[in-house]
Amino acid sequence: MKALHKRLLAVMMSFLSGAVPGIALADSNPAGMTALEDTEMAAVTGREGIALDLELRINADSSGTPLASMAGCTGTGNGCTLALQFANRPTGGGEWLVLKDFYGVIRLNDLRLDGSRLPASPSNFANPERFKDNDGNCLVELCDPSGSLAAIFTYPDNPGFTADVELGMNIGRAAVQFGPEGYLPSADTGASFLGVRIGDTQTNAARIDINGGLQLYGF
Amino acid sequence: MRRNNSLSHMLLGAALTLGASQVLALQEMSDDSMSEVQGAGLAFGLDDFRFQAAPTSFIDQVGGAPGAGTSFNRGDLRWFGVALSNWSASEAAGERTTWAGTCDNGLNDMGCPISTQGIQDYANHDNPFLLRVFEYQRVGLDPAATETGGDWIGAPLDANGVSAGGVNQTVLEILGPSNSQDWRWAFWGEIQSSETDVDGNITNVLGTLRNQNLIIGKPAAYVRPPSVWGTGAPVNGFSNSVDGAVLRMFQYRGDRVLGGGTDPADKTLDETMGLMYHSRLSGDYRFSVNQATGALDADPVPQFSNEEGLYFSDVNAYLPLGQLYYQAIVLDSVHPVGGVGDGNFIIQLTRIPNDANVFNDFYSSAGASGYQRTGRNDRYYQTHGYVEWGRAFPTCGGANCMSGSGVSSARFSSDLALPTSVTLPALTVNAANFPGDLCGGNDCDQYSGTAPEVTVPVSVTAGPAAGATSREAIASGGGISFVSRNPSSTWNVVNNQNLASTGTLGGNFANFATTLAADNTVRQARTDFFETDNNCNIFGNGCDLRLIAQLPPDTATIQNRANAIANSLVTGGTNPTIAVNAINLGTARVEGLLVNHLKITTLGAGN
Repeated sequence: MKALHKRLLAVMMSFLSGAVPGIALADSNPAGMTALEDTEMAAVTGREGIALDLELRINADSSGTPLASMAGCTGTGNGCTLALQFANRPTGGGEWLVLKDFYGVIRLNDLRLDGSRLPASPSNFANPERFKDNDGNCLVELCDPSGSLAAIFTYPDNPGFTADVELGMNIGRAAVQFGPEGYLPSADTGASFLGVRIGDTQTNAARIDINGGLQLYGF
Repeated sequence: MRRNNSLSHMLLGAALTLGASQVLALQEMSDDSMSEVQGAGLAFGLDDFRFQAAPTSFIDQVGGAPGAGTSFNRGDLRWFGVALSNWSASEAAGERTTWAGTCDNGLNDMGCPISTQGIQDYANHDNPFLLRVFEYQRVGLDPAATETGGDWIGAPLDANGVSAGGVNQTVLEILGPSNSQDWRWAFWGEIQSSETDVDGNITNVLGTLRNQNLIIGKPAAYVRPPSVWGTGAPVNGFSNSVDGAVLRMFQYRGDRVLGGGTDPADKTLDETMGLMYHSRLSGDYRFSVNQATGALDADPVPQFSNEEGLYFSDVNAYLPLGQLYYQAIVLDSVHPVGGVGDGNFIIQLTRIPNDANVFNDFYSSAGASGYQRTGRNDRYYQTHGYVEWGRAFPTCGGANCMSGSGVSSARFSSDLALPTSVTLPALTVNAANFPGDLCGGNDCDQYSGTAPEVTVPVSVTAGPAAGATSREAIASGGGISFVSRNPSSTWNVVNNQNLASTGTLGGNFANFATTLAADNTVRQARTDFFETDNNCNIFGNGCDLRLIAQLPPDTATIQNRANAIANSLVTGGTNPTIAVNAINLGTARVEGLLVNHLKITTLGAGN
């Protein structure tokens, strides 16, 4: 997968907020960023964790509706495309897997990033083999990561259904297009072998409630 | 753009984070702990994880205009409300739920597709998803090869998983947890068929089938078929264990045949992205379509009934798709010889190369005269998949057959109320209740006491009625079964469909207990007698015999008579038609599963 056509990157990275002082100040101070004193810097520990709101739109407005400026992402040759090419697929000057009528929106609402230690004791399903190298040596002490530091990702565990993730996506058509510039909308003949949508019959975007935590650690 | 009062929102978020009991504050990493990180792997553990898409949220495989020259209609597939949640045999009823209402636990614990609880033991911190780069020395194409027909080098894997003389490559792999608890995966779906215009737009919906899909299981399965190799205790020196799924990405090098042509000149060395996926799944699966009373297809979210469906229970499956480095899943396009294609796409599990070194590893039967049931090596069970639906298979004492523990005797459930037990009420011992020569073959002169209530189990085994059991036993018995929406919904099956039906299986058991109580042998089993005055003469006259209750009654004799009488009440002849409401379709197993070549080519773009 070695290329993404720029035109498809009508990507609106609309918002990324976090409890990172620099970003927060920039957003709240119309006069612009101001320098932090050393003492202030020293006070920054990040101990309180980070809360993230993320919204990513591709050829769509905040409701997930395709942009009028992109011809509504409909019709042969519209510009809402995402093209992929795989290694050693050169027939006809280049074989491009083109996802067409492509638009969508994804929102992560109130994702929490914090740090903690893994449970101190082995679980019921511990597998030390997972933590060995090719020669059978343990890559963590005793092949047991229990008690190690880890980043923890969580969403608020509110009662009832909470839309922690909202995802709307449309790939109306998909086809292989050929040529060095086979990724261009002008190479679109209207052909398609598949379409995929992710959405909701009541709202534009699918809503997902996620509970529990993701523990991320390296070794 | 969400403006969202960001600072206050963030502070609130931070405050909430602090208040969340399961999340601790960030901790400083010491140099020591930093130095322990070697970059060997990235682990993703899940703690009390639960995923629930809204009931109306969907993934939709969008159909299009049918291919020219076909009789197909447009088809659309939709997956709604995908949910990953907990399952526990001891869960509270209040934890069980569905997309649109309440539910009962159902049969085989599969009445409710969703739990309100997170999965306790899935991808634990010490058995997580693992993303890493790893080196494997396996049978591969000679690195010096630049054209087709290059040599494949390397011996079959040894006990350490290394191919002597093989190719050493680096792969990117994601390892799934090697074992976990069973948990629920569920969604409700729509399969829709429609007529379209030439552009593929729907002009007439022909029909929509709504369905519910539930798995209680895990993405892990036994390394070897459990019906043959057991579930842990050593069998022929091997202790079977559970392993998880794995996905590997690597550089594939192999032959490519352009456009399906046969001209060797059109073949080139195919160096492209290769995927290998070894799937493992185990558990129980229920597919159902019956909606609860009052539910309509027009409802945004359907409510399915609790019991109906096709059940697959005690399933174990291992499906290896691809082997390092000679077989991979690759992506390609349709491209006729010398030209470009029509836009269609190919997903292919490549054909295994015609090379002895590949064969020796892939088939892993070297040293044997073809395939054999015994003496297979470990590598055989890595390259060969298996699927088992149920674990009850015929026993076999032969030298070259698959072993088994015997098939299930549970065949069907019917609305014919065959008794499984019978209770005889307490009965005063008197001449009316216990008539006849019950005192040692003589009339009784006196009666006293009360025969106590007695309950005995009943087994109706009369010919075609054998194998009748409960709906629960059918659904949970292991294997494949089908259950109707409720016990009174039946369909007819001839006991032996190769013979003419001799009637309808039936039987009137309404007076079964009364009939049993009036049986002379049963009366004797409930009573005893003695001579009160020792006045009998040598001819047996002048005796004064008293009948009393036998304490405790002779239940073995009562049970024998109960079985005999119950079986005598069964009607329908030797080969009756049976009205069933659940039926055991049997078990099945596939073993030695090899995929030599699999190619999926789309057609829609050719319109």
